[in-house]
Amino acid sequence: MLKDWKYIALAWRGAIPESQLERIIPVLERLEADFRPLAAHLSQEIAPALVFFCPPEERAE
Amino acid sequence: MMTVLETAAALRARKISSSELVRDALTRITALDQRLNAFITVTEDSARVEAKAADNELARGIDRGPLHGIPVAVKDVFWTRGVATTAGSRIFAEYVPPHNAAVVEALIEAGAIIVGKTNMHELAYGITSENPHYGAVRNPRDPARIAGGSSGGSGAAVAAGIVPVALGTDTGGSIRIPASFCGVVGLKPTYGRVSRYGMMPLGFTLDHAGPIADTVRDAAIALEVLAGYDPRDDATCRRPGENFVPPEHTPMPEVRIGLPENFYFQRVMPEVAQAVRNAAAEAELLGARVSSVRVPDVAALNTVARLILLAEASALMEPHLHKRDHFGADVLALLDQGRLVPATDYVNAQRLRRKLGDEFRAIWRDVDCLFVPATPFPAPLQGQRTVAVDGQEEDVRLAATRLVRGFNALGWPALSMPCGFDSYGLPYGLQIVGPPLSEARILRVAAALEDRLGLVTATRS
Repeated sequence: MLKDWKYIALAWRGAIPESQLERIIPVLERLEADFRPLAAHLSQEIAPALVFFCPPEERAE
Repeated sequence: MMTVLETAAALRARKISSSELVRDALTRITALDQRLNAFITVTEDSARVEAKAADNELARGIDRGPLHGIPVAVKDVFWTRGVATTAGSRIFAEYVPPHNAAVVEALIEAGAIIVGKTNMHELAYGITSENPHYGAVRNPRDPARIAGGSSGGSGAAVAAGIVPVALGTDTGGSIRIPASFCGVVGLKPTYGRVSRYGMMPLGFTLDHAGPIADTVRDAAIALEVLAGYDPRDDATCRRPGENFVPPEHTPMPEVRIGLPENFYFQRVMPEVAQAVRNAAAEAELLGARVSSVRVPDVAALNTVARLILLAEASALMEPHLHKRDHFGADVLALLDQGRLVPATDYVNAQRLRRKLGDEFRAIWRDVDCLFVPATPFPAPLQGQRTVAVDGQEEDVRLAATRLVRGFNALGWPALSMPCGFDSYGLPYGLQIVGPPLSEARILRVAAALEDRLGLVTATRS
C-alpha cells in the first residue's frame, strides 16, 4: 500500500497549502511506486553511500 | 571565434590584446543579451581593469597559461567576492559573498577574465532555465527554444560566441543538458575531481562543477585549471594534476566503446539515436573498438537519484520555505515534495545507490567508455511542458534528465558534445561516459571525434 501523502502533508499543519497538494501528490505516488519495490530487497549489510565516489586510494585523508 | 589555444597564441604574438577580447565579449553581450538573457550580472568595469592587468603581465613575460587574458563567464551559483551571487533565486537576490568559490579562485589565478555571472534555472533546480525572477534564457540557435538548464546561461553564452568557456554545475544533468541543446561541449567531471567550495549547493552528494566550452580542447584546458584537491571540500580527490588537453590532431586512443543495447536508445528520437550510432561508427573508423553492452537498471538509478535530490534540496532550503512567494512554482513544488520524503526512504535510497554502483561498475570489465545520447531530443520550445517520443507523451523535465541523471548518482565523468543537427539546425548531443577519474581518456576520444566530425560548435550570428 502506498503512503497517504496527503495525510503526511497535512501533518505539516499548513506549511504546505492544500491547494499545492494536487500538484505534488501524484508525483510522489509515482516515485514511491517505482522506489518501494527497489528498496524492498536491500540486504542488511548494505550501508548508505553518502560519500563514496573517489576510488579509496584517491580520497582525501 | 578562435579556440582558447588559438587566442592564447595570438595574445602572445601581440596580434590581439586581452583588453580587445574583453571589449569584444562585452560588445556581444550588449548586442545579444537582450534577446538571449544569458547573464544576470555583467562585470564590465572589473573585467576591463583585469584585462588591462593581464595585458601588462603578458608584456612583462608573466604567463599564467592558456586562459591568461581570456574572457570567461561563471554561473551565478558560484561565489564571487563583492559581486552578487543569486543562484537564480529571489531568496539570494541580495547575497554578496565575502569570498570567491574555489573554481573562481582557480580561474582568476589562471589569468582568466570574468565578464559576468550567467542566468540559470532557479536554485539550479530544473532544466529549462525559464527563470521566474530573471527571465528565461533563450537558445542562441533558436530563441523560441530553451537553452536547457540549469546552466542555461553558460550554455547560451558559449554557443553565442560571447565567451569560449563558462562554468556550470551539474546535479542531474545541468551541464550536459544545456550543452546538448545549445550545441557546445559540457563536461561533468568525476565527483570529487573539482572543488565545490563556494558553490551554492543543491544536492550535497550529487553536485558537480565543470566547464561548458566551445570545443573539447577548450573544455580540457578549463578542467586542467579547475581540477585538484581542496581541503575545503572533503569530497575532493588527492590525485595530482593531469594533462587533460589532447594534442592537436590527436589520434583516437586505443579504446573499447560500448553502445548500450538497453535503456539508452529507447524512447529517444530516431534521428538522435542514429547520430550517436554514426559517431560510434566514425570512432570505429578511427581505430576504436565498438561493441554492444548491456547496462544494469538505469531506471532504478534515476529513481534513486531523484529521491535523494528531493530530500537533500529540501533539507537545504527548509529555512527559507516559509517565504513561499519567493519561489517559482516548479521549484516550490519540488521543494514541497522533498519535505515529505521520510528519512527512511532517503537512507534506503543511499543504500540502493551503493548497491547499484557496484552493479554498474561491472560495465568497465568489457568497455572503456559508453557512447549514449545526452538528451533524447533537441531543444524544446519555451514553455513546452510535454514532449512526444516514440508515440509516448512525457514530461519535458523527466525526459530531458532520463539519460544524464544516473551518472550523477554514480559520480562518473560524462561529456556532452554535438554529434549532428536536425533540419532546423538544432544540435543533437552525444554523451561520452567513463569510469571514475577517466576524464583524460574521455577528452582524447572526444577530441579525435571532434576533429573527425568537423562540427562548428558555436553560433556566429
